[in-house]
Amino acid sequence: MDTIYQGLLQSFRLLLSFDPELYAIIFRSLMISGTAILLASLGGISLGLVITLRNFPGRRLLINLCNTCMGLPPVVVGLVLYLILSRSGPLGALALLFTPIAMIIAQTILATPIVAALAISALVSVDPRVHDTALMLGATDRQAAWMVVREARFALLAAVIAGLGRVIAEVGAVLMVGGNIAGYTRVMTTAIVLETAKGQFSLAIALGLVLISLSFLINLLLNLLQGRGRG
Amino acid sequence: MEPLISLQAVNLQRQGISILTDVTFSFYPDRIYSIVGPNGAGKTSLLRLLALVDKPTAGQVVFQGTDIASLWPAVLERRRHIGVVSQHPLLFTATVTANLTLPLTWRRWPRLQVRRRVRELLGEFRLETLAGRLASRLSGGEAQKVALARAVAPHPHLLLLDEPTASLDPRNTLEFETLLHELHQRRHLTIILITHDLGQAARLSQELLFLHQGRLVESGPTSRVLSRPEKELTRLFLNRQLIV
Repeated sequence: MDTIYQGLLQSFRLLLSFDPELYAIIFRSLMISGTAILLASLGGISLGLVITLRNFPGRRLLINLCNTCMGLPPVVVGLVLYLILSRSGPLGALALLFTPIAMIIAQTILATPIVAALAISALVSVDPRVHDTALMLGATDRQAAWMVVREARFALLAAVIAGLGRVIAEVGAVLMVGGNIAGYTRVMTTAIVLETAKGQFSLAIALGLVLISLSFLINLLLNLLQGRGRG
Repeated sequence: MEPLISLQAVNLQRQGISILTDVTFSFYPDRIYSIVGPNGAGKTSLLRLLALVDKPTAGQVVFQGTDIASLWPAVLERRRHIGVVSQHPLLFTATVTANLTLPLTWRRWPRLQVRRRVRELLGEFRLETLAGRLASRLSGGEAQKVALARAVAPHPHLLLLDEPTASLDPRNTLEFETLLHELHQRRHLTIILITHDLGQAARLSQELLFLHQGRLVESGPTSRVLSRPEKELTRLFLNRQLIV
């Protein structure tokens, strides 16, 4: 009991004293996951648009693939990426293993199918007349596609946030390809794993609190957006 | 005078089913045409050909002297001279003003000109009080007026209307017809109107086309066709005795 109490007390002290190590880790987490979700959103929403507006062979297969990859195990992504990026791997010459870039790649791979699958369901639920009407009113193909995105804007933002929720809390892949190097690739989740293993709970608890608060915030935002989308 | 848009031996098939058969007709500038006929006669399919969103299976659609097939799929520039209003028009999830602005910004109108034109439209269509309202909060009559204003915003030469008043009450129908009449007086554009309301056809149009099972059965001055149809099918349709 005492450990938990001491840990909590210490963690609040770290949080309130703006402990530089703690806040550096939080900032790094947000940068890496933020960049990953930005890339995943660009890829996922574009893929969703192509799947929604174009009919091509393999379209159903692609949708199935996206849905399947929504639950991609992070450790498997970590393993595959590790093999590809390690010195003897096909992309070993780029020396990306154990860098933040490797972590961004891993999280982008994890988030893209989630964003894409949710974007597809958001975009197909847009009235098909939106695209047609825009074309009849003199829109170019690109302008008409943009109108479809615009009509689905709340649901698409919800897709992005769901993806962010996934990657920011993920530990397996970033631990494997990032290496949890202090001050370089150590993020919230990997720091929690390490500190807990070391028996130093205060930093772990402080990060845990931040992580849970972030998840709460993300879910709150998600609920708010879904409410607006229906309204 | 040269026709604005004409159909020459137009055929349209979808999945092997014939929708339109051998339709030939020329629409001239500054006139109002009605297209009547039972459900499934191919009226909306014909309108989509005239809107240059679909291509005929055979035959020619000639708009402003150019065979559209020769341009396909680069028809956007021509399509931009055509306005369309459907029975249940789709307004974008935005304000009335934003809905009126979009077709103009798509055509890269200068911002000042867009603002002036939107203000003009709000006045002409008596929409001033609704300018900032979300499209989803409009009544059916208001939405249909916005759709009409949006369609004519870029000054099209041709306006296509697909049963625009079918879901409106008599008062809103009358207001819509008045707006359409004023618009025609003001801009001298060609209007092609699909309607199930023969009274509306008589009130608005100078020429009437009767379509049945994908064929153009009869056409001519509206009053003549309505009072003295030449074809037996037309007579049966006008007497509401036509069995499809």
